[in-house]
Amino acid sequence: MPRLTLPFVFGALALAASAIASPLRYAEDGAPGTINPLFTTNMTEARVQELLFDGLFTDSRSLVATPELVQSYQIAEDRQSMTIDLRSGVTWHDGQALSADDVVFTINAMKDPTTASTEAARVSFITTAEATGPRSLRLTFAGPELSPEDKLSFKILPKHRFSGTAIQRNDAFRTNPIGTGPFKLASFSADGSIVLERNVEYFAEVDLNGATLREVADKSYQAKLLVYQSLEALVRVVPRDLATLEADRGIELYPYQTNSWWYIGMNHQGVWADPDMRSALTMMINVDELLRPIGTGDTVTGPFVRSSPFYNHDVRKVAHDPDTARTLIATKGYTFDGTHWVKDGQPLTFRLLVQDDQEVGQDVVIAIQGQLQRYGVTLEPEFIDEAAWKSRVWQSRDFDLVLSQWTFDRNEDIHEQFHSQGSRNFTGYASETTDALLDQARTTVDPQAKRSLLQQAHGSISADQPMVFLWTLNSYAAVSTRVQNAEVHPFYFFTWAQDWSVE
Amino acid sequence: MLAALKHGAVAALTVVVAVAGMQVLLALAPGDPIDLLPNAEAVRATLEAQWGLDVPLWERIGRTLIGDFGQSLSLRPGAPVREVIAQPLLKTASWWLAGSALLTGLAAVGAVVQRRSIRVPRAVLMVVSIVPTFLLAHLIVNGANEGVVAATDAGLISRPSWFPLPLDASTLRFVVAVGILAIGSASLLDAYTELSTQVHALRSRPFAIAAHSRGEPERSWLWRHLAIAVCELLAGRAPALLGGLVIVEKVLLLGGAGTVLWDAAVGRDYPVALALTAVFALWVAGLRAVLYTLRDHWRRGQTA
Amino acid sequence: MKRRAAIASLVVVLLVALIGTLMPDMAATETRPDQANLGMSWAFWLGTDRHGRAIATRLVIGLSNGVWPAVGACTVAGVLGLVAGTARGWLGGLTNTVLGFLTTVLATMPRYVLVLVVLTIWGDSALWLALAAGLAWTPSVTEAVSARVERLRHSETILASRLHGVPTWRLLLVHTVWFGCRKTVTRQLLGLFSAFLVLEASLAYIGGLGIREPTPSIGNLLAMQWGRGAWSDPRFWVPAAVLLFIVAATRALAHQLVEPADV
Repeated sequence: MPRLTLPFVFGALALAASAIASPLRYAEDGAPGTINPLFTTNMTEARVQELLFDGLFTDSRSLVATPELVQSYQIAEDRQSMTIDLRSGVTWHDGQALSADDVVFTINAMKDPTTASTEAARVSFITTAEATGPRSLRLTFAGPELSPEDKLSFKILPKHRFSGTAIQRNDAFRTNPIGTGPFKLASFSADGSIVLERNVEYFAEVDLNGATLREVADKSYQAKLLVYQSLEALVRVVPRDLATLEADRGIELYPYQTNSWWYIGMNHQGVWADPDMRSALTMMINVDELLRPIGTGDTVTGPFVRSSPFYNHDVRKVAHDPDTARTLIATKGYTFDGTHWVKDGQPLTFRLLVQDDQEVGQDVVIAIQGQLQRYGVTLEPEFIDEAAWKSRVWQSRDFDLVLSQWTFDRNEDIHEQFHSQGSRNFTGYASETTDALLDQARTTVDPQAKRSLLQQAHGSISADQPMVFLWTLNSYAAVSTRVQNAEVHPFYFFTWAQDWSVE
Repeated sequence: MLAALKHGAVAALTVVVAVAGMQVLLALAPGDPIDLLPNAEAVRATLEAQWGLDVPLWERIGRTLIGDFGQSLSLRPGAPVREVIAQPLLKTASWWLAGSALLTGLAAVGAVVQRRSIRVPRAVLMVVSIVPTFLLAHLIVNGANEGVVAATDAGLISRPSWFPLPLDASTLRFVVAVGILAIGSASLLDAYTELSTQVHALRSRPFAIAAHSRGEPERSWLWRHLAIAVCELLAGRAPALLGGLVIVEKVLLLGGAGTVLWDAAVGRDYPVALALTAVFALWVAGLRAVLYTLRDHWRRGQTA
Repeated sequence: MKRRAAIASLVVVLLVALIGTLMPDMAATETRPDQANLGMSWAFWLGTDRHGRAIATRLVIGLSNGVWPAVGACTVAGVLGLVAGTARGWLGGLTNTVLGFLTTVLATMPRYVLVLVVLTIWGDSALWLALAAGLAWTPSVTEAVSARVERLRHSETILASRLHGVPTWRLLLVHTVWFGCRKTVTRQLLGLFSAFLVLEASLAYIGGLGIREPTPSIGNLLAMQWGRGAWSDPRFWVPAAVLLFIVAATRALAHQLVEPADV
């Protein structure tokens, strides 16, 4: 009997070990162009970097900044500097020890104008970074920082792999990176697939035995691959595939909300300078009806997500009221000819610009067009690429309406979007009240005061209706039930992936 | 020899003009890849110098002509273009070669062989041929995958190694890709029509009638004469097959030069797009030079 | 008989396209959220999509949105090809060499590649699609016309007409271009017509290029059903069947127009 049992037990153990040892396979629409965190341009790259690199701080499960490479830290009383001690025993994937010089180097490289890092803005609040010991450093800030930990999640690079802080995009590091993260690069194939293996030297336990990224451009096919058990995870499910995946017992859907909200922006240089016309548009749009075909989410009344501390819950939603909208339009000299509103022989027509990479933008545009058409307004949508967007929306303001979304980090700083001098205020919205509130909110170091000021700003902006505030959309990740302990970060997805395992 | 030189010179000049034309077209394009970066304005001057976008147009044309394609801008930022396109081009070349061989083979056999037994399959193939490439690919891929799911659920088969199409490289994926390329969008039908007309014309020529009356088997002369028509067919269809591959590669996730070209064009990675169009131009022009030289050689042989 | 059937089929296609043109644009974009994803019925012959838009209406208007740019592409290729081909065939010599070389250069570029590059650079609209396709197909029209004109120029009919004092412009425009090339050109343009519709459908299906939603087109109708119920859903196979019908009809008619000297 033992003769039979022992091999059976060993066999079962071996089988179990091999089952647990499976790597995670996930799909992305496109292969990362580079895995150098200095030149990140899209979320595909950011997600791979999340597996390979560590930051000084990272997000805890409750989305609070928590030390990652940092052992301990102290913020000066005036909140204009901080000292950091790095975790001991952290090594790069090539075996060298992490040092304070690496952190200083990373910050200087991001700031170096010759490097032209896409991440430079993330360290603009740091004026100097100096190593004060092998594993200790001091950061000085441009002004008082309420919560600098929140801004120190950028990925740290190995100084010894570069000759200086002036780094070019074609540096070999781009396809052959090393980090301190829980996974290290095994291969980066020309066909766009990336294989990562477990970093056995990682300072914490890593359960997941590697990850494989597959480039699959078609979203529907990605969903099918998950159903066919050829993938274990989809980062983001498009609404039309939700029902199929929900019905599959081998797949679990993970809802998560990003810090982003959708809006229909109005160009204040034209007809939308008139607040009555802005009100009319807002009343013509049935936000709930727009949301239904694209998924689920929370409608918003202003420039914050509902879970934000700055969201003003006292602000009431503008009711869908086409009759009042019609009255408002009529007072502006338009007459209704049975199908269109007409003024000076011209039908009321608006050009709506949308970026063509917005997955669900097309469905929203179709629904908006249908709604406005019912009330006699013609919408001419144009899907444009990012370069055309920058040129037409940001530079020449050649649009009537835009459909887009704003995504924020934990700080939810809306100053640039809604201040009359804001660099991202392409709609041309200007309000002295809002300006004053946003200026005060930016300079105050009192969290309660900041909260109150931004809630007031929410009210002020909502009253002015510079845009139609739409919703925060629920995103869904789809993960095979073979994956254990799967918990996804709403932005970087793989922040806690080392705790996952594939059976 | 002289004919070969002439065809070679024409091919070289064609590539030069095609590359220059494409370079001018790209220079006239509104916007550039730097616009796609989050901090475009802050880094514009630095990147224009790094990426060679501040170089005069004529110099850029010259560089392209000597094979200096520069570096990829957005697809694989910083990577030498040659590195980005080398492997995909090799893959595309293999699919193109196999597709061309299958196309000419099927068309020639269909045109020459008169046996009743092949009439029905030939007719079916010709009807299938008018289905657009993308639709044919979709139907085959979905049919195969859903068929496997149904069969495995019913316990009839175990999961095949190629499943699901077309995720991983497999013999079946190669066969499907090459088959769709050779048959879809009336490729086969056109080729068959062209060759069968030639065969018909050849069979009614006096030497053929004489050979027939002497009881000589048709194969003694037909295939030799048909080679000329095949050369012309291939020379004529080379660009269409390359264009078809762009569609086949995208639908079947093949990751060849067609996919790279599509992604580069959409992502405004102009150096990569330019390099691939230059290589395609060289490919077609070079192939035509070779095929026309061969054709002329055989024609001279026949007249002599 | 075949020829008549093919012509009748294309006339039907053009009539449907005309009806689509006369229909208000609003009919294709009218959404009915409470009537989304309906099956076939008397009210909605081919059902509705996920926004409650009538598929049959979108198909008719979509056909017109594809057919008229296809006609535009044919006009571009027809005019350029006829002018260049006639000049090459009639004048010969240096004109033939230069225009022949330019045609070769253009023909070196795969058509799909040329169209893709033009669309991604200049913006994807029906207008650019028509221009790019017309340009891409110009070499084949030029080659066909040039070969035919050159053959006709040396024909006994033309030589005899010359001797009888028929003016050159009449010989060129009436005898050579109209009587001599109309079938050849029509055959080429029929090929481009169906190829354009396939091209539009391919671009919409694969990459969302060409005619974009919410404007209906056969490609958009197909793209919207990608990967969902392809086998049984009439919303997928009816647009596909319409596309195949047009391709088959144009090919059949083009086949009827083959002249012995064209091959």
